[in-house]
Amino acid sequence: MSKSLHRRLLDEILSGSGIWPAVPAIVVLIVVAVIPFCILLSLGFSEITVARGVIVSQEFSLRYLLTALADPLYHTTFQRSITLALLTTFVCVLLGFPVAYLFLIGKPWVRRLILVLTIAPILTSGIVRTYAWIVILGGRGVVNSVLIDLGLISAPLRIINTQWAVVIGMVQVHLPIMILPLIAVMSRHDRRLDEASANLGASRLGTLWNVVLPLSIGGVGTGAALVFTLSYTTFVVPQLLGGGNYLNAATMIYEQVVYSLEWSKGAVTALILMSTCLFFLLVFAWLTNLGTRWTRVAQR
Amino acid sequence: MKPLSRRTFLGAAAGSVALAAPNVLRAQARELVMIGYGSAQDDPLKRAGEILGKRHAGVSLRVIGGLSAEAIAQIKASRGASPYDFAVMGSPAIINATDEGVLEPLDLSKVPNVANLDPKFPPYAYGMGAPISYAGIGIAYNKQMVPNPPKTWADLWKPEYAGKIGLSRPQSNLGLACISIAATAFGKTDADTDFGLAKWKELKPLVGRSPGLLQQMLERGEIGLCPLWHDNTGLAVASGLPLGYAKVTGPGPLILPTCIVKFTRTAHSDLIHEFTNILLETESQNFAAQPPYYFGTVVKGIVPPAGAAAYLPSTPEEIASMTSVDWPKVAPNRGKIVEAFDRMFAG
Repeated sequence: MSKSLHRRLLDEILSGSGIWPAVPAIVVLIVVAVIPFCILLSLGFSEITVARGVIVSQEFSLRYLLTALADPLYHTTFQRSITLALLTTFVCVLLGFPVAYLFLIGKPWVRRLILVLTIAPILTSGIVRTYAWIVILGGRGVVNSVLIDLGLISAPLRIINTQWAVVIGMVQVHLPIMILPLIAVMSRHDRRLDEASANLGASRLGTLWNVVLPLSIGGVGTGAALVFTLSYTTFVVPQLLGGGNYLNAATMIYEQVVYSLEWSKGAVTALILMSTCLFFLLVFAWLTNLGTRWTRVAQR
Repeated sequence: MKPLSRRTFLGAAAGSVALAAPNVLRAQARELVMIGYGSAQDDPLKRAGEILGKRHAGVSLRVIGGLSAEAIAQIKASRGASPYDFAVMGSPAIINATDEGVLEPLDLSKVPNVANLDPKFPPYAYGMGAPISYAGIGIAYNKQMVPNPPKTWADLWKPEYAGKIGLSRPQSNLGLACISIAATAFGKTDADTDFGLAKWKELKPLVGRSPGLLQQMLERGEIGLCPLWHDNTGLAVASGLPLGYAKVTGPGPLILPTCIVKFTRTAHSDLIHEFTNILLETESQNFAAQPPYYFGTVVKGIVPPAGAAAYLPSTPEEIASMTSVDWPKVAPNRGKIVEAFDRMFAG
């Protein structure tokens, strides 16, 4: 019996059936994500004593969580992070949708060009792209130089080290993440529906609003969820473009863990960040579900 | 079963040796890993590493840039198993690292050149290491934006500098010193950092995340002046930028000695002592004192180059009034000061 079970397991592994092909990925996830997350959680709910770099005692405590929830610094920091992430997501939808629509209606060379232009920035490091914005938006950067040369301003505008610089950088870094799911969904779009809409007298804008947009809601939802998650938890862009007094949730965690060496505080902040992020993702999923409900009924 | 032939056996043995050779060689080679500055300021350290390598075959030095605070956090995260052997650290970082238990004191009897140190400097190592240089904290300014630089720290609060001032965050030693300076400049104690923060708040400074980023902000003309390390300024001036440096007083001129400290559980303790001794040799001190670093020398009898007078205390009056922050009263509160800073400045 045992022998046949072993044989069956071996057959399954060799044939790649069942969950076996996913096992390496599951193991990696458990080792690099689940276990560290559990350690992080345990730190957030503990009073820790460290001696010579080693934890010597750890006792259960809700102090850090309760303090964080009542702390105005946390309220303003998370409010800022959420606003920034929602604003970035909104601008990415606004800029990404026309590009994806152009992909839908464009000729093959236009499609290829859009794909190249969308994917190319992802091939370079986000840090490099963010540094490029320092050159562009800086006091002697391209934007200020052009505005001064045109006589529109007499002294350079302060763009860098402001919230707007962070938004600009975030949109540029995350825009491809919005466009790609939109393109994936729109590629499956049945163009005969547009023709039917036109035959029924709808204008191109009307077709876009009443046919293309509702059928693309799945892509908008997926892209928005991805962009929101990345923007909400981002560290590099606010670090480089926000200046030293710009604090978002990720930079707060970094400071608590690295500079204040207060792991419990950092763990609690990370927990709040993850919980709120999950909440917003559920909202996005619910809205996407709401937006695509009628299309699923139509498909039945 | 086919018997193993001699040819097969020799082939397998040769293959094993070839595969194992890199590991065997690596075991013979000894690499010292240290936390440095991450910039051209590492050159004197690398030079000393080369000398050490010539004395001991197979010994090499790898200098990794970064803030000391980040290294301490990494060691803490790796539960005391430091990925580094030793570091250059300023006084406040030494105090923080000692509190975390990640340092082991240097045995100064193994560093004979310590006997030549100017007695002003060893106390700043707090019994953990040996001073090798010192840096000045003054005000770097853009000559085009600030024709008349401040002479005292309190001058920064004059209306003529409003809207042009930069500040480093207090997680860096420079930023921490600035908070303390703002208190002492107005008659308070070094430890009255709440007062210092409130004074800085009045200036509405543009904040840089680190001294390096603050230097870049100065170079790009986003700020006109800021407290900065003298060596950061020296390097920027050497690259042709129109920057000046004011050795401000009241308090000061301010300095921060830099020390060699070693982390717990390092396997290269003897080499670290020898490395420290090399850095305290006259040739090494002279090399570090040269432009563009202009590191302050800590060994008696070394004459700094003429250009160093623009950055470091040079006149008898300046040398007599040279001082630092009362670090044991300030550094242990670094985490609280950073949090208080965020409460006041984050926007």
